[in-house]
Amino acid sequence: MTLSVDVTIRRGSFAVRASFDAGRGSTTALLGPNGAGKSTLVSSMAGLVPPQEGSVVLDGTVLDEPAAGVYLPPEQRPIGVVFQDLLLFPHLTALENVEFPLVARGVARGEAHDRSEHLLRRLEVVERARAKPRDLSGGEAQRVALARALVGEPALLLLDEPLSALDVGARARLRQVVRDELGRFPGIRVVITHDPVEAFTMADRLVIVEDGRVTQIATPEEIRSTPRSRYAADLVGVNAVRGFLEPIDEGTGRLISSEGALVVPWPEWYVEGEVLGIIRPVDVTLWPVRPEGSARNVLSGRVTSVAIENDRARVGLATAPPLVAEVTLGSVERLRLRSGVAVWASFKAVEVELLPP
Amino acid sequence: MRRLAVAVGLVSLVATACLDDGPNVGSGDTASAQEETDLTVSAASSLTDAFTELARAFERANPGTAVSFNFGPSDGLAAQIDLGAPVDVFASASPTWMDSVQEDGPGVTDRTDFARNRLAIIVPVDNPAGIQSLDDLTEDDVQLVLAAEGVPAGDYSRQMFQEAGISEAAAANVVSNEEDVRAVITKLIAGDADAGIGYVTDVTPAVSDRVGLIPIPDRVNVISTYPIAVVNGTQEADLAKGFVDFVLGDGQQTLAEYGFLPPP
Amino acid sequence: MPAGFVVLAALGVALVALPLLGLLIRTPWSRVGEILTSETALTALRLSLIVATTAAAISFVLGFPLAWVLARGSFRGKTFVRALIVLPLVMPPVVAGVGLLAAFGRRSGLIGSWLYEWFGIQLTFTTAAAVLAATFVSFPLAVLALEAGLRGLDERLEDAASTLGASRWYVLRRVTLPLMGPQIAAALVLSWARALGEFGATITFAGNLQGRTQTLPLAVFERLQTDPEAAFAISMLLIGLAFAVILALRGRFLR
Repeated sequence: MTLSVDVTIRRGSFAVRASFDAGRGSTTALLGPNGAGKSTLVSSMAGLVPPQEGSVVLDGTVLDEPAAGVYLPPEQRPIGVVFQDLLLFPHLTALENVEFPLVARGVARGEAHDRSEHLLRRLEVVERARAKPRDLSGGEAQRVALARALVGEPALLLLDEPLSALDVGARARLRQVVRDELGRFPGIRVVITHDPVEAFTMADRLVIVEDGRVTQIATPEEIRSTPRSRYAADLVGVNAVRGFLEPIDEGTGRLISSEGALVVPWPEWYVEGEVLGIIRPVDVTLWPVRPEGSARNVLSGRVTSVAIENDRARVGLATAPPLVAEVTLGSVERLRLRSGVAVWASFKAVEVELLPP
Repeated sequence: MRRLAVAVGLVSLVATACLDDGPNVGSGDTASAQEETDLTVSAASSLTDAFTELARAFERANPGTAVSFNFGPSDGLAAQIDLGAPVDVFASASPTWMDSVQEDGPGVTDRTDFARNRLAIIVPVDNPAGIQSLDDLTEDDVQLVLAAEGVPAGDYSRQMFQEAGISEAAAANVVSNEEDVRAVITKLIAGDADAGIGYVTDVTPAVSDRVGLIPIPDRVNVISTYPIAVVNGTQEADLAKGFVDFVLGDGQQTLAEYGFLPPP
Repeated sequence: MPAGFVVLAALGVALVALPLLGLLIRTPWSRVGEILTSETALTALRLSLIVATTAAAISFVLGFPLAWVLARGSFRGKTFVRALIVLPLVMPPVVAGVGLLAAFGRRSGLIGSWLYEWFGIQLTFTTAAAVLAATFVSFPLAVLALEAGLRGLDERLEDAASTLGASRWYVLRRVTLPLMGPQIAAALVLSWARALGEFGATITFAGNLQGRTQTLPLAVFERLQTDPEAAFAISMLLIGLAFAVILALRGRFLR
């Protein structure tokens, strides 16, 4: 069973174009900054916003294909949706909310009741079955919404920012519950999130959406090692410098950004325009004095922050351009790194990976 | 568009305030506002045209007076007087309601009968139901409109049906009981009625192109008597008496022109 | 609480309360039992209940789809349609009656004459006419209340319902209408109360005949001419009826 999405959706002057596939049992996370178009994509998969071009095909059934005049309304799609605002029916109890999709499709009341109660029990919220949504806590309401989306055994599960409405404590508690349920769910899962931790922990694959376009489709590891956009780079915590290229000599060039310049290898594919230079924090070496050696990028600046993570430290530097270096705890001690201290940072030209815009 | 809708709404609201939605109480103000004495006369609606003209003559004869009218069903007018309406003269279409003001109300002075009237069958000018006589009123599907019981014309109509021996049949054909005899005429002009019972005087020049009259033989007809009187408690006793005298004197000719019979 | 406001508010209450108080005092309580059990009063009561309830029902059945179109649809001339719907509210009721005659009168009505010539159907002088007159004046109230209710709904709840497999009809029955409970009740009560009190259009278009078209207001009016005290008594009945309904629904729906 596969989901195939290849659509262009226009809303006013904004257009979202995306193309990706997802297989049975997989979790795909749509990740991106606010306003990127993720919700629009999910609305389209849900059947609430028909695309102008392209198609959405689920398990061989065409859900949308404007060119052929095909559009399956939401109620005929085998989907379950958990909305960002949950959208629990305020006039029904928690249990009735969960029974709703079953009763609406003609399942007998008794069976609907049993299946719903069973699911609420599994999500550890059955004691609130008779409560109305306004009396539920954030976490309880989230579980009910999840149960309501799952109870109909849909082929495709769409979750829009499933944990965003919760406070940190509730979120942590719920993350495990959601993971378990998703793990149990045999169909295709698509999750929208802007929280990288959610994306990285829940998803098999990430589809990064920025400004209406997909900028990268990859596994979490691939993104971590090779982010392909500023946003992705920020996400995984690598340095990203955007700027124009100027040749220096054979095989090397200068990357000129508004905040500073770096020496980089000249990419063969370059024609013109801006590029993104990625420098892994672990490749940035810190020195107490100006270093000797062949590294062509040598910058000085003050330390702005030191963050210890396990046995490594991430050191923020007010260099031109600003950078983050990753060093051992030993180095932190030896160099007496703390906020305000002046240091030198160096890395080789070849350690700057250039990506097209 | 929005503003237009609001403007229309406001105009209609103002019009509502000015338009009547109850008994046919019209007001015939026939003199300018700076006159010194006002006379308020409550008169049966069948007297509308005759009295309006008569009042103009009275005002000409008595400069400095203005006559305002309440026209309506005599029972309603009597009720208003009984409840304290400041009326100077009352002209009723039947003795009953004058009696009521005497017994249950403030009482009257100088009560005199001033005219008589007879009933007639009134039909729309094209007479769609082809009514020619009282008996035709008993035919199936004739839609008959009467004045309500209590209204003199209404009581007289029923009395007349009794005389003619057609009470039940006629009653079966009644589709509406109107608040006064003028409303009966209105239903014949603007509504769907086939026939109504009103007074011979109701077919005035103003409506003669829209309604027709079929006479009722005198032996079954009711000849009604109209009394007029000065209402006790009036502030204009002399002027009121003057008006009553005028009605009994010069006014008689006007009444005759409109089809009223002289008093007994 | 500004003192001036309190004074004005009190005046407002007095404006409504004084006539009611006057009626209460003038009502001949010793005769009330006999008056209200008279044939006239009982017939008028029965007729009024039938007419008002039917009018309110029709107003809802026709009004809900119209409210939906106004709240959710977009088409040229929507503002005009809305202004048109409000017209019966500001029209003098007698004028409304004349309008109804012009449309449905057997002799000169636009539709009425056609109905009569071709089908032998006559609307005037019937209970149906009383219902039609009452519906005409109460319909706008229902539409306005229902439209406000629809506008206040979160349409996304309806979207959610359809993603859960509910057909459009099911969404209407189980999500939209239940969520609009208070507004629907308000629409019904308002239109019912207005229909109950309708006079001018009824007497002009339907006429006045006991048992067929003489609703409570018409009975009051007729009685006012001959026996004012009886009129007061029947008025108290009318007011009591409306008051009871409004109170009964107050706790549940009208907040």
